[in-house]
Amino acid sequence: MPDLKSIQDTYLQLWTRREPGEAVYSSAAAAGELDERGIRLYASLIEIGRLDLMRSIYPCIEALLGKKFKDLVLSYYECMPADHYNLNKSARHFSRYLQEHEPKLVERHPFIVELADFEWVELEVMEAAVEAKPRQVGERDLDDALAFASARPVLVDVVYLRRYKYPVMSISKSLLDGEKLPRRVKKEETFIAIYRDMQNHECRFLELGELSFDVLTKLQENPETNYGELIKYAVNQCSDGAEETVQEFLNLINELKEAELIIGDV
Amino acid sequence: MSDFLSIKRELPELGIGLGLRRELAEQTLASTASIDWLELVPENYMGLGGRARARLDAARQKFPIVTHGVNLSIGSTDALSEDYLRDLKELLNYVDAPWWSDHFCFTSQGGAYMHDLLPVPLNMEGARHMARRARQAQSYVGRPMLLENISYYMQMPGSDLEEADFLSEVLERADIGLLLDVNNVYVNAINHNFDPYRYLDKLPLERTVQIHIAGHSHGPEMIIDTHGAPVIEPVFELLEYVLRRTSVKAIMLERDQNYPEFSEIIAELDQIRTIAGASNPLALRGKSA
Repeated sequence: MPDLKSIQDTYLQLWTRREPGEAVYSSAAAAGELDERGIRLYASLIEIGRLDLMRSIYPCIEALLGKKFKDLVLSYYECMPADHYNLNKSARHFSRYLQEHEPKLVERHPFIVELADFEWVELEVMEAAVEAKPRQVGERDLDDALAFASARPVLVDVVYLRRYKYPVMSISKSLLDGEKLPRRVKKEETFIAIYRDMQNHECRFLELGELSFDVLTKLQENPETNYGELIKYAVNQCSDGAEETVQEFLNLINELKEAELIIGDV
Repeated sequence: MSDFLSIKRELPELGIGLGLRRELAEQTLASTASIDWLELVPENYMGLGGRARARLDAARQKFPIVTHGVNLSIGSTDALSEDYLRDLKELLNYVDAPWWSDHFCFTSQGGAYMHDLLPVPLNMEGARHMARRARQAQSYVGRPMLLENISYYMQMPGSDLEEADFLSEVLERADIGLLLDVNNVYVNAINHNFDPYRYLDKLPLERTVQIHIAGHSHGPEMIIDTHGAPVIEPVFELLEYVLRRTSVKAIMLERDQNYPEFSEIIAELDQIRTIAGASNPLALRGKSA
């Protein structure tokens, strides 16, 4: 009689592989009579669980692929088995899987890797464990130029900044609205902040201009950066005149505060 | 008397509880008059922040909490996951759970998680293996541990023990508690054609700390433990049978899908409370008892 480990290894193959192969069947047969009904049932329970999860996290990809989504999900789990105890996290490598193992799909839908990333990040934003930022933040007097320049903005606790080659946000909306995408979706660089609403922990999305994206990236990389340094950075990045850029920067800060992406100044 | 039975005597009597589910969280948290305590799936909270942590914080302010895990994988031949145990212990400390539970099953192998409760061969090798790991896990976590009988849909090769004998071996060898799921007993009895009362008589019922009760669904070939339907009368009868034979600390209604009006869930909780009160008034006294 095979030992416990080989029985478990064999049955996992039988339950989770669409084509386990002769060797697995032989190994199973050596352990005793095959209960095909039981094997089918467990395979189906595992498959339903995986499909339900992936549908809930990747509704846009499902809308894009229709019936082909199921096969894709099963291939994903065969290639990248769940490596974390948290069920949701079993879906976290989907974008990488598409990039590395589905060249034909990527050729047909060149935005699909970015779309998968966009859908996954939503869950990350809602559930990521982060140390809460100090809440002793307040509003500085923007008219006091010196005080303003030395103050620094505080970003919301959880924010992911994404630079996509495709208009992923509008693609996502179209798919969720049941609209058909154009046969060839044109490349269009987009910049998005995906961040946590501090009141209800839901995910918020904000499409940004390139300058805003660069400023936020700099701030995220170095949270100690103050407004003065950010303004200098913005002026260097921008081909517009300095005065115009400063005004644009001040408007941007107000917009980001209204959107609760910047939660205050220190 | 075993150490565990002494420990059981000191455990708090939680009463009649419900599982904390995201879809029902708002109504659940507002129902402190009808629900004595909450059970949660720790994997949905371990190492997470944001909405999961906010829900956890809201729950722990209002209710006693115990956890019922799905991925300890006590029956696996992989080493016990240190990451898992560390995160679980941290959560248990955070909610100050009087006990914690998982299942007589394996859920991972070769580092891959299946996220399903998979049966193990019911034999002495498996029982010794599981008991050894249960002792390790309980010792690491430092709080009383229970394991729950699962619904299983096939007999694994190499099985030569009855399920009740297998469970008893593990419970006694590991000196841990039983989380008895009476719906699983019913489902297995129907699917595998055995007498559920004889099964219950073979278990060390005195080790039962907590009971699960739930509904199930009829598949084409077997009945499935879906937690997606109302509890049926024969399952209530099994609950009553157990409560007449032993005292427990908590009973919990599992409802995980196909959610009805919340008032129907409350009505089921009331029915469980009535049965608990009538079967053994001293066995379990929740806040409303």
